Amino acid sequence: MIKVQNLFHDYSGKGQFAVNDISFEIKEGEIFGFLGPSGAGKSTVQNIMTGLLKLQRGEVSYDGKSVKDLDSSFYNNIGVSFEHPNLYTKLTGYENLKYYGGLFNVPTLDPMELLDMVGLRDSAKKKAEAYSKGMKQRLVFARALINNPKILFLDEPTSGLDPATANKIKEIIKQKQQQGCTIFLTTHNMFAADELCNRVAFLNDGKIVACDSPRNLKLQFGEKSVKVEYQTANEGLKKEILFLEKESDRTLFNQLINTKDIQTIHSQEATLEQIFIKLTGRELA
Amino acid sequence: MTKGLMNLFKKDLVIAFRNALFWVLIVTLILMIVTIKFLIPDTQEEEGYRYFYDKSESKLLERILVQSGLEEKYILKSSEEVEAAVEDSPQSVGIIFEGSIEKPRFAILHQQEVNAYQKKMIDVSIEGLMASLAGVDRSRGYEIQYLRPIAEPVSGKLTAIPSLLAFEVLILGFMFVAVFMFQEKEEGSIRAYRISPSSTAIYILSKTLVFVVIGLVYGLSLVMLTMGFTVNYLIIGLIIVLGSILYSFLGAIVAVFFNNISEWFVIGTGLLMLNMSPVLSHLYPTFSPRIVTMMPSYSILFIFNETMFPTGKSITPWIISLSIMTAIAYIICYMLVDRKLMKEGH
Repeated sequence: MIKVQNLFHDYSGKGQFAVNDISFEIKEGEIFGFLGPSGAGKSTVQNIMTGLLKLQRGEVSYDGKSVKDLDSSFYNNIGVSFEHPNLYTKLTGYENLKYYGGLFNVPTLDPMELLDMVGLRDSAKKKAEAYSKGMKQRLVFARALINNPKILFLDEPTSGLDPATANKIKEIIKQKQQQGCTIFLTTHNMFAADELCNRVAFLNDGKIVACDSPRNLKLQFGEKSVKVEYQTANEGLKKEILFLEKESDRTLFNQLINTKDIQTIHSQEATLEQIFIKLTGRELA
Repeated sequence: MTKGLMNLFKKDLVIAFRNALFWVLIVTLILMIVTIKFLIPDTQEEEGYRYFYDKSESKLLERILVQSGLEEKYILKSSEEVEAAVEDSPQSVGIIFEGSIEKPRFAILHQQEVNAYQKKMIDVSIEGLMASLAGVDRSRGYEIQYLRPIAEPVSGKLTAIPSLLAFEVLILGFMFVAVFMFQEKEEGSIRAYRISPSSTAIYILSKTLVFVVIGLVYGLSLVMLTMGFTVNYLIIGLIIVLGSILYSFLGAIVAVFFNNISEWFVIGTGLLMLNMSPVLSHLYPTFSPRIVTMMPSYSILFIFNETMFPTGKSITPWIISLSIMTAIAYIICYMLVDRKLMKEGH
């Protein structure tokens, strides 16, 4: 289990906290989404969690062991996919994975299989500097998997990818979870978070403003209504918005289902982005 | 550790080969070898060129020169021949003797302006010739004792090799380690390294090893193709290794304070120029202020010089001081790279 308690971080040293009293826990095998706009403090938290940034105040622990006490072998168990592709540009895609894999003291995956997995097999011998932004993003994602990590830190893994490729990456993330991998997903893409995460935390101005499963957040903050569209003989297409917490609306909903030619039914729960705006007054992007 | 080091070394070597600067280096090496081998005149030989023509009727000077063992090619038969010979060889001097033993007259032919040193040499030559003509015994009234065995005369063009090794080959590490670091900072790959289990020591040593290998190939090629097999390659190799290691560490110590080559340029090249000041001590041994002799390039230059052109001096103290400097440089390098390159938020 990963535990973050009362975490603070101040880059300036003048009491201007980029991360301000943040606490959360991530269970083993969970996908935990960290949602917030640029500058909210997402990357700072991730950098402290991975040991890139020095822990100033608070605590980050892995199975009870403080990040301060972790030695270099800790990195054998984690994989990090950065938002901005950071590759050895003079090396080919294959070489990037091969030499990076050589830094680990645990068995690593076959670079070619990983390239195949993210759709880069045909570009394996091309230098990374010749890759497009999306290809670089996929290569960085593949590199994060090379050591078969127990914990994955993914920073905007689907950013800049076309929908088909983004879906492929999301599938791999789900597969990793099924294999028991714990995933910390930093993103401002609410759809990806909604689709992938067991729980999400909303981060704004260095503080967590809400933390729960997407479903619970929607239930807690969304409008619990259903929009039903149905066809009538005389009046054509009609629609009803029903609040199912009300007895009368529940009855009407059942009647419509049983007696009418239903065209569409949409739950009126809010999206994660709408909830974020409701809680913070600002947009995610 | 060895597996990790070798893996990173291979990676850095591949990147080095794909760097345009590496190929500039190879071309420079070839140019240096060609220049030393074929373009720089061997001043040692040229200084000895003196052409004589005895215009006197008795031809006494000619006889004396032949008796003294001077090769006949330096004794010419006419003033025109002397002029032509001096014309062909800019460093040579033509001496034409006319008149008699009682009233000798010498004409000196030289292409360029005669400097004070050359003038003294000509004076001494003429005095010697006049003494020979007069039958005076000019054997010395003193004895010279040498503290060490007399060194073999050194071919002028080869004296440049120790300087080239010290200021061309060894500083590769100083410059290239900076180039590597800036590239990794720019592309962000250093961030990926930071979250791997590999250590700061391996990061430093892998790069150092690359410059040791390049330095060895570069340096040994230069020495072998210009000097042949007349030098002690064990010592030369040892100093190239030690010097490359030291300069790679020094290069990293400086480079961690900058983000790109533009920021580094003024300080980096300034330090390299300062590092070259021992070449003055090499050319003018009386110039050896403490600040110059304390520079690592001073020790390195004089070890190379002593190894290639032995004068009997001991190089052990220099090697010891170089080893101590390398050990201290590693400690500083490790602390700075670990603090400024392997962590973020500084």
